[in-house]
Amino acid sequence: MAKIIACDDEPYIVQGLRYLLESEGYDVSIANNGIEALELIEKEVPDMLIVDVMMPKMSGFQVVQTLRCRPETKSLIIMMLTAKGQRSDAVYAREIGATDFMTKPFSPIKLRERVRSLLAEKCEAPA
Amino acid sequence: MTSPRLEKPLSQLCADAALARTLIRSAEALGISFAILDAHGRHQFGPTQAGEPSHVRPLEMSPHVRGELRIHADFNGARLCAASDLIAGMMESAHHGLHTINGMAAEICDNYEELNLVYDLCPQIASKHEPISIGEELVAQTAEILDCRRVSLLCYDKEENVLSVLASRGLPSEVTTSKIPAVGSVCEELLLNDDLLMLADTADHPYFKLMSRGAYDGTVFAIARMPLRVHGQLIGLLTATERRNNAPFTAREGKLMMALATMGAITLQNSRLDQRLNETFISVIQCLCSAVDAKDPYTHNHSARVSALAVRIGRQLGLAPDALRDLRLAALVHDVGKIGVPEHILSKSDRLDRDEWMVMQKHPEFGAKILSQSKELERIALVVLYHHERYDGEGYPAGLKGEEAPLHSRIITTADTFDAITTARSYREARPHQVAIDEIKRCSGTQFDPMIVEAFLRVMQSMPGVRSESVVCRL
Repeated sequence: MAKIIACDDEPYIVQGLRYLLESEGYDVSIANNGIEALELIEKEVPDMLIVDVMMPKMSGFQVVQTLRCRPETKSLIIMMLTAKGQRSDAVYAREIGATDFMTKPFSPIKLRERVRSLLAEKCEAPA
Repeated sequence: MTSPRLEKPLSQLCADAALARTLIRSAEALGISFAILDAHGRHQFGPTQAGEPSHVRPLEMSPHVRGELRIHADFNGARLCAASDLIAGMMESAHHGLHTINGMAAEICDNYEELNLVYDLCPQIASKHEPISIGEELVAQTAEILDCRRVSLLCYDKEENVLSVLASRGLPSEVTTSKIPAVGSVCEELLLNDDLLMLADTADHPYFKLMSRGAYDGTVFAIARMPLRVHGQLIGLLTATERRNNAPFTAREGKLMMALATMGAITLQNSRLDQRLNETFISVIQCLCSAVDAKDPYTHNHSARVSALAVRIGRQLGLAPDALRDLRLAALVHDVGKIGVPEHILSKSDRLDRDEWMVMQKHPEFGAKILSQSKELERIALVVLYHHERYDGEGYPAGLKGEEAPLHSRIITTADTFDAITTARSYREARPHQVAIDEIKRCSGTQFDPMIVEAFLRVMQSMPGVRSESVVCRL
């Protein structure tokens, strides 16, 4: 069972993500901010991180940049959630090394499919 | 998307870190130790202890989530019962809390899906301009979102009180072209006042057959229908039926259909207003031209004919729709400056003397000056200013050479000359088309741009209608 960390400061979104991905059988942990996400990842590197861009204290971008500097999370699958209409956010997300991004409000059906295919790609890729 | 409610098995409930912490602290405070087993007797929580437990009780959080609580304690009786009740109560609350959160999370997911659809479809519908393409987009979206094979968008004509098909899919062809009268007490009432109507099957609705007016063959099926309104006025009716999965429509799908209809109504209305504005604009311009034409009975309808011919030449040259629109307008108003030329000069039957000719030659400048007053017409002021320039640079007012004069001006010069030769003037009779064609050919490269003369000749070959039209107008 793949392990996913969902990180967003909005409790409804993070619960929605948890519910959606648990329904698919993933093992989901919740982080309510960037610092919590980094702490969880330090304990155990998950298979995937879903992280919102706009968060107080530590933005999603900072989380991704921090993770990309660490050898153990250099190739961690990271999907960023960007706000609608912020095209530059999506470009920046790619630039700093996010694997993928979706704009909010995302379609749960599409997110589920995207998560599935990203994890499948990881399985296919040589270790 | 309707997600099934997710109930966490006892194992996952016990794996919740916050709950585990609370349970451990409670055990300490109560002075007991306890273990939780799932329905299959597998250990899920707490220390595995040897020996018989002092107390065993079944846990039943829900019919699907069950287990057993085993307490080891140094005491008995009421105190043990109270401790047992407390732990069981905590497990139930935890399960209930999680279940509630899951319910809300499922709702959030559904709402997000819906919001996402609406966000996606609004720009797609709003990007269309023509009523028919708006209608087709609306029908396509409705068919996809509601998973229906048969979708129609009817337009309501208030004056005739009839509905006609603007766009559809899966509808028999005899229906797509017929007009459906909206009269009849019950039908009218339902058509004009009902909001969203969703039926699991058509037999549910006593008036359905009346409302449909034979558009359906009586087979029973689920149907959803939503009126399109602007300021409360009915402008159309969106209907979807023949679901691929034959299931009744859900409340969520109803909401989506309402969103589609609202978006469609606004876009359709905008397109109509835009069209009306454009028509009004053109008709005001035509009025202005008639005012000029009226000064000289010989040039009656001259502007309209030049405009029609210029547009044909423009099409031959492959101009884009926007450029053609400007050409049409410029040709319509090319002589508007004649309003500043005294009538006795305009209608003089003898040749103009030098001074009169000087005044006459001012009309492109007068015209450009008039047009530059309007922001919308400013663009074509230059076209009008140079419509008497010649390819060899011998024209007026600026003596522009070759392609220095705007393309539109060079087209209008050619069309203008053709019309001038083929219609009667105050100083001479009308002459046959062939004379005009020969004259224009002869002056290709001197007075006219050869490229435009070629396009003009192609128009003459392919459109004999131009000739007869000119003849009719002349009479």
